[in-house]
Amino acid sequence: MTAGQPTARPPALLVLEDGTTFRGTGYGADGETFGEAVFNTGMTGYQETLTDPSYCRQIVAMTAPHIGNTGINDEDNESRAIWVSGFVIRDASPIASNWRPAASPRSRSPAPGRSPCTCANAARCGPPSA
Amino acid sequence: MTTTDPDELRQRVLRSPSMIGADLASVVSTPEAYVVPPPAGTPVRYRVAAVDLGIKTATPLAMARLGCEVHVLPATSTAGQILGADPDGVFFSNGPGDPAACGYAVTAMRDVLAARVPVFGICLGSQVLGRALGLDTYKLRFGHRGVNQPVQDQRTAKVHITSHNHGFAVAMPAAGAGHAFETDFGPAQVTHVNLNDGVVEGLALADRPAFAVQYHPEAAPGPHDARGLFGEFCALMAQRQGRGA
Repeated sequence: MTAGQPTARPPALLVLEDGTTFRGTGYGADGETFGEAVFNTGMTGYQETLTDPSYCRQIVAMTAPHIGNTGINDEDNESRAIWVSGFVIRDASPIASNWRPAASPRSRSPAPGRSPCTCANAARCGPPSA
Repeated sequence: MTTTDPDELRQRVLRSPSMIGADLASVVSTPEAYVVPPPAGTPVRYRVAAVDLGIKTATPLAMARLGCEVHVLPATSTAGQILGADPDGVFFSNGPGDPAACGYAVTAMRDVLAARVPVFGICLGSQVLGRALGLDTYKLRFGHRGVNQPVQDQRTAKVHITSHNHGFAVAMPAAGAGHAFETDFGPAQVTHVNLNDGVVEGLALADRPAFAVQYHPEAAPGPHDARGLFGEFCALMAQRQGRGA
């Protein structure tokens, strides 16, 4: 098991084109990113989702509430890079446990020149403003 | 310094590029060709040219396990480059973006179909086949992304639970699912539909060895209902080799 380091994280904002705004906590890379907001409803496979090139320029909201609990391993990457523009999760597991050697998702930085993976523990904070 | 003003951020969101019209396959594709051989102990039975429109690692591996030597090629490869190594079959992969912006892949697909080489497509590769057959593509309101999408084979009525990741889809031809429609390459049909919303999930030509599915038989986390499609592709290549299915 790998315990996550409890460090102070910056606030994060997720703004949709209709003005709906969600506030959460930054997780992963810091910065600003743009993309099409989409849902993935899979209960497993977050590592494959992060590295699937089909998610290029998309901000993926995972409907499975608990992400990171099986870590990131060396066998399940679907490509050479993280391609999602952003990753929205409800509950980032501070502990990763896997029968294979695995690291915490937070420890993985995007490849040079790729989009940052910005993850937010997002909570809706108001009705659409438009 | 990043602003935290939601109104200013929204203006930037509205100025950011749309997914409609976006060619992203050529952005994510491999810059250089590479080969995925069968695992040790598995003989090479087929040579596959795989056009990388955003291919996932699991896809060439799934074919390699069946004895395919998979030559992965950049997205913008021409039919001449794709057919240059005399492959037994040609694969068009999944990928991001709008299929209407992938004219280079549609042109390559049409030339490969004309050569009567076996063709298999997944996801964006299926949309590219659809456009090569003269069908339109369109953006879905929300798209399908998940691992429990029910897809029915119109020829057998059998349902597979499948993994999906698509924001665009092939427009249903006027003939409807399971009925032949005419194309430049002979009759074709929509072979698979999504039982949730009726969206086109598979296409096949009647008289040429070409088929494609919108979903993901290679999905590593599962479900694995549709894994047999790789075997069907191998059977088409075996027929072309004259060895029978």
